[in-house]
Amino acid sequence: MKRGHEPKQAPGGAGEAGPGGMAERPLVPACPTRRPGRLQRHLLSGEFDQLRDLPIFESNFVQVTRLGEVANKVTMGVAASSPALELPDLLLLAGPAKENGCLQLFGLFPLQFVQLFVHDESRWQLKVKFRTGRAFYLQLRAAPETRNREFGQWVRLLYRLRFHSAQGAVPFTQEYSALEDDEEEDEDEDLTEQEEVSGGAPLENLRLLPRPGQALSLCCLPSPTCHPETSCRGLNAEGPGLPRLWSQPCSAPASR
Amino acid sequence: MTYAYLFKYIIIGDTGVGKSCLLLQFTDKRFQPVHDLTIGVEFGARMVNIDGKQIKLQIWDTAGQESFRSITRSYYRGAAGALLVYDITRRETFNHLTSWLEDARQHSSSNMVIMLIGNKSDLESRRDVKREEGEAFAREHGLIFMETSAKTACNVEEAFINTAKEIYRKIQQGLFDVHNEVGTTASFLLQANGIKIGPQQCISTSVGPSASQRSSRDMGSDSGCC
Ligand SMILES: Nc1nc2c(ncn2[C@@H]2O[C@H](COP(=O)(O)OP(=O)(O)OP(=O)(O)O)[C@@H](O)[C@H]2O)c(=O)[nH]1
Ligand SMILES: [Mg+2]
Repeated sequence: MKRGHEPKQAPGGAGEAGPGGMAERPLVPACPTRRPGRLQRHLLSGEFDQLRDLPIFESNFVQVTRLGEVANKVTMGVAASSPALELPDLLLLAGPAKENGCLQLFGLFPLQFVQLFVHDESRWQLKVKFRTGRAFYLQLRAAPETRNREFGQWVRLLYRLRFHSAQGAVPFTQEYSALEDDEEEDEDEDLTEQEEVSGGAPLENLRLLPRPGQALSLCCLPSPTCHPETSCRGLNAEGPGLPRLWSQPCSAPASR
Repeated sequence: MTYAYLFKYIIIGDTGVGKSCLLLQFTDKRFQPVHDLTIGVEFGARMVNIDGKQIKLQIWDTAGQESFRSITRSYYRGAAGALLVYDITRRETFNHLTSWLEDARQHSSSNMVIMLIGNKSDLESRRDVKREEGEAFAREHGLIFMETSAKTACNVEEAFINTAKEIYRKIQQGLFDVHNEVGTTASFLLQANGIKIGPQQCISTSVGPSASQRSSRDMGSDSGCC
């Protein structure tokens, strides 16, 4: 577990960042207590220096339509941009490039603008909803014997995020186009998603999830990017679990 | 596919000017008529060929809306190139350029190449900012300038590729301190200036498809269509 070389700091680089920003890169990452996942290894491979040392809690999902039809593979993770934070503040979404299956990062989203819901617990489905109105559904992909536990970790996380960020919902103004759903959920609502009129956006409108054809123009290095064995400093394997800071038992019920 | 260099780009500018559409046109060759407000940052990537070298562009498409401004600032670090975009049909997006430029200068390397883009050139009848004004702003601040249309794809390739050419030129002039760490298995040298070198053994010297012909065009805003 050693690191090849230290990334150099940009002279006069970004000094400050709001929550969800990433200037405060942890030098010694808080240790997630699970084996580094695909996304973590992808980031460690080095194409994204700024995200290299982010400890990530991640799972593999398939994107499903609202009715549960399977669309594509997605890896979703959360990370804290600073070790000083008690809770993660970033959401990462990634998926395989079509041509070679290598993971590619689609986006990085401040969690204060994202809401997570349990969509269908019996099918391990979450709903991810952006404050801009975009929404999509993800079904956990995990071995049957660990699936419930892993899903339970997401549910706990989602509770913690909600209850700890009651004031974190930064006022958000839509200057340019109309918010799709102004009947936005109340902060204290049940975390199991309410049925709503707008529903999830059709897949083709989700620009962030695999754009048809994008993979054709994308490539990744055969070695560092795709290599599953990339080692990872600061991550220890004490069995699966949420990063320690985020995994304290939550008093809220884990499901309805 | 391997590459000789990886350049980090950041796309900045007011909300609604067409940043995400420019990226989508460049990576996917399609246009998205609906404005899906970006939150945080979305990524795109594409290989281009400059001077016989395969270069991977890693593009950070940022959120333009004011509420995301402080978050966007944290994404500048390590960018080798920036596309600073305004909308030729909305003067206020042009008026805000100075403040975007200040952010860019403050949060990134002084060598970062900045391409000023007046987008939506297809909407000539609604034009609110003259091309000459864009040119003058660029000249005054030492930027490259082009007018583009993410809708018709006019000048979109050129905007991304000319920026890469300029970065490449700076590398060759030794303005960017780029040196490879030969023999490391990690094979990347992480640079503060947004340029990485691909694995030595994999550097491709062959001339790739599509981008190579286009890359021989003249730099500037006179490529015909706009
Ligand atoms: N006619 C025309 N419309 C365009 C062009 N580029 C973008 N648009 C439209 O402008 C709107 C905004 O485009 P986006 O690319 O989403 O804007 P953005 O700059 O990414 O905005 P933020 O993500 O909020 O920062 C969309 O409705 C696009 O269809 C263009 O070149 N011509
Ligand atoms: Mg956008």
